[in-house]
Amino acid sequence: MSDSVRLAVTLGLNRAAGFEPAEALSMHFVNRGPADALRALAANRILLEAASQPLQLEAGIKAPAETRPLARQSAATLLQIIFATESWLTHEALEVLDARGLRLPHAALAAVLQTTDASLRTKIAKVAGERGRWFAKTLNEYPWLLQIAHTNDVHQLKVSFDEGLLPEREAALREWRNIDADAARAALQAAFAQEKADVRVRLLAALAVKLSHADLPWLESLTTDRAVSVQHAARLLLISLPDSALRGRNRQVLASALRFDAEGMHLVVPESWPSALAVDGLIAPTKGQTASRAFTIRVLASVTEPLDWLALSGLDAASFAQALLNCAYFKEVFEGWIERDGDLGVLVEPLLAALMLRARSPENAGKHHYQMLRCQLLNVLAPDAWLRMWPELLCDSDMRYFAFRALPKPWAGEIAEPWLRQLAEQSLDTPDSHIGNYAQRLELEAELRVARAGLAPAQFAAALAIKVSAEHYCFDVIHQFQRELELRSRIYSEFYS
Amino acid sequence: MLTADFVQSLSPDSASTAAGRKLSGLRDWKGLSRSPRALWGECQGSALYQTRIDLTDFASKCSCPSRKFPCKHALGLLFLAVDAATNLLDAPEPVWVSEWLAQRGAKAVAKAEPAEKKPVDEKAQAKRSDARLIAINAGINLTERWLHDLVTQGIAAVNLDRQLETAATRLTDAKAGALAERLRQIAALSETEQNRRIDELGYVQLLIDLWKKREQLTPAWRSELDAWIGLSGREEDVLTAGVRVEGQFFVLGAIEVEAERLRERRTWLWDQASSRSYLLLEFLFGTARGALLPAGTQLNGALALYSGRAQQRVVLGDTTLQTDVQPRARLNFSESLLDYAAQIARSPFVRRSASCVANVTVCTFEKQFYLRDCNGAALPILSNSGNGNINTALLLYLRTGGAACTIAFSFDGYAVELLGFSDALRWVSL
Repeated sequence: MSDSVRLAVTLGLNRAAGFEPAEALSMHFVNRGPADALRALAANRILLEAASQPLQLEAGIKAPAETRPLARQSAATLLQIIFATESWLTHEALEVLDARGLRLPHAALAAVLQTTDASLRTKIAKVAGERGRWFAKTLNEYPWLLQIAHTNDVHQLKVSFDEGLLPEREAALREWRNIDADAARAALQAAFAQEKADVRVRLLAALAVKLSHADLPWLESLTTDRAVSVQHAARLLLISLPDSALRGRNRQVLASALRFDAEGMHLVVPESWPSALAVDGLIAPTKGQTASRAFTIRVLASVTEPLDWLALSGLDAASFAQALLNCAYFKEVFEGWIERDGDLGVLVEPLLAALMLRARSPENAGKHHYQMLRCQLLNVLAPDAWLRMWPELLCDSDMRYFAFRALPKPWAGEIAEPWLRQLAEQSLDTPDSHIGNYAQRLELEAELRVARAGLAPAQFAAALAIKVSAEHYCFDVIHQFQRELELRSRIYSEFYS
Repeated sequence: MLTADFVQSLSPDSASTAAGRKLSGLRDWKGLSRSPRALWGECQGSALYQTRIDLTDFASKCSCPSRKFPCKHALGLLFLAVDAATNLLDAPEPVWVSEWLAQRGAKAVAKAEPAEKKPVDEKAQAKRSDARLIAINAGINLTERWLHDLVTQGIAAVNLDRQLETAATRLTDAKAGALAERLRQIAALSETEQNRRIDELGYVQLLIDLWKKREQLTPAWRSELDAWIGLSGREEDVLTAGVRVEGQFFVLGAIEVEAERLRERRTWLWDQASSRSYLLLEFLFGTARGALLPAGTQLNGALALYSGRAQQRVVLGDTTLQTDVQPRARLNFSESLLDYAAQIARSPFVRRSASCVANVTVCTFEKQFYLRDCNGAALPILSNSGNGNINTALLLYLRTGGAACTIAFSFDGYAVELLGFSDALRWVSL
């Protein structure tokens, strides 16, 4: 009855009269006017609610017992704090939890599952415990909790690769490449034909892990794939293989373009897009795009390895870096290398040094692209190079902040110790001389924000021992840093003591 | 006894809890002390903040500029009192503590002794009351006309949400606030609850019918109707003239919802002897804290009932707080549903009733979470129920792992809204 009255109310009593009534009783209410129709609905609802009956459901599956122990209560509380307000510590806390063979408390699991940071998934899966896996299975959601649970388990990785979502498949393939590169490639090869082009491109990128001569034949065959994007992805990988025919051909094109004389380095390419360069791996300008020498050089750099440039020059790394910097097309060459994540190898350090020197000359000071290029170099600087370059980077006021940000974590003792000494000295400064130095305060604040996550556990004690007077102009900033560091140190004390 | 769960239940939100936890280390505090009636200490933040707690009701005051109550410093001090109670040494109260306690005492006394009332101008009062009834009459007549037009033309032909909002605004202007709120709640029902939206319009018709016969109603029905229209009695009147219920009332939990420019907090109390639920309804403006009863505690004493048929809404009378208690739960959903039916029989306009049932599990069926009792009877859980951003059904499912526990919820005839559950003898608020 109620359904037909509801239908009548939805359509309008005026219109409902023309419809075949579902039940005579409902039409009776409709004919008596709107008030009676509404009363009938309410009365019916009251009866339904008063007599509401529950469903009968089978019992659900109970979660299995946990195999990993739970962190003690104080450690669980610490995790709660970190997940709620200190997201910068989440990665580290999860890593330490896993390293200690512990699992997340069930109460914390719900909070971490809400995370939108996909990079945390692998770490969460490792510490989600049996409850997390039970949850994913029974709800048929959060598949990544199941699929990346054991990253060293090849069978699990295969399942992840076969059945996971794309990000999980990529992650599993990368892990698999680390463990057994040939088997991972074979699995990808088997599945490749059934995948869409964009998926093929993303999965193919995982072959960059442990790329070797063994991958060469298949990659060569992919240069004729039905999708241009896949051909391009395969070529990018082939360029990284020293013995690939493509790299050899590109090297030849480069050799014909690269000239060195007493005046330095020159790149000889024609103004228009040359047919000689229209070989595989070199992308012709799209229709309507004006070919220019600068564009051609950038493309050439993007399809050749920086180390091939160095080899063809016959110079040592420092001289080559200097010659490149003096070349008119330095910016294009550099951007071309960065575009493909080319392996700069031994060139990084001399290039960075040359750039820092160049940036200091009055005519180049403040040039935005120099700053950008230097920051990019910082991100690929080798750990040992950091130690050599650190004093110089600290003296460069433009670079100092970026250097702190790019510095590999945890900070090496050779870097952290002088910095902590400097901070301790700064904390003892007489306050009056710095009152109102807002820029200096901001600079210190930025450094401390990086240092709180960068210092190694062995350096915590020294940092926490720094005394700072309550009258110091940066008292609150340093005090806040010490509190944050103390919180970070608690991760280790709670989980390792 | 002060416990971490109790302190957590005092917290206004999870961020404050976490911030309070961070401040529970001795490093952050100076001059930590206690007396039989207070805790206090000075916390070093960007300045030195003086924080004090009144142990009689855990009210706090801090010199920090935070607008949250209790602030993170007060929570930190309470957490510290739980974790490291021995570090709080007995000491005489400093002036900034004793003065505050004295002020609180004076305010409590003033509240208990009603101020000398001005003589009531009965004529003016009657005039105001008549004017209000005339305004409500006019508003209700307009609403009825709108409702009938709506049903005659068909709700499919109009933008129902907009029409409901317009009608609600008209009723608010006509001083029929509760009826206006009912219309807004109909508008807030989701598209998937279309049948319920239509049926709820029927309830509006019933209220209009009753309003037209208001003079012929019994006093209890008239009070009931007045409450649903927006003529609720004043809290002070309820305290002095309302029916008193003595007993032990377990605090099942509270749900806070944002209403227009204010927060509505519904705290559900469970009479341990009769297994009836009572509702403490508060409308809070800005950062007002209200009663903030910690879930999982028990109030011993008296409640005063608002007059009317429902006998559900209460005001706190003289009560004391007791911790370390468990609710005396119902055995299955059949009992809960009978309670609900009895509530409907008292007043069909009641929207919800709370219950507490033992041996309940959380299970899923067709992508929906259900509560399942020991007999296999299952009630759906309202999606996104509870406070905060985390789906409480998901949280409960994860925490219990399919194991049975005692669960408190409110039921509206359709689905349950989760309030709290018992986890290893601790009451956890959801």
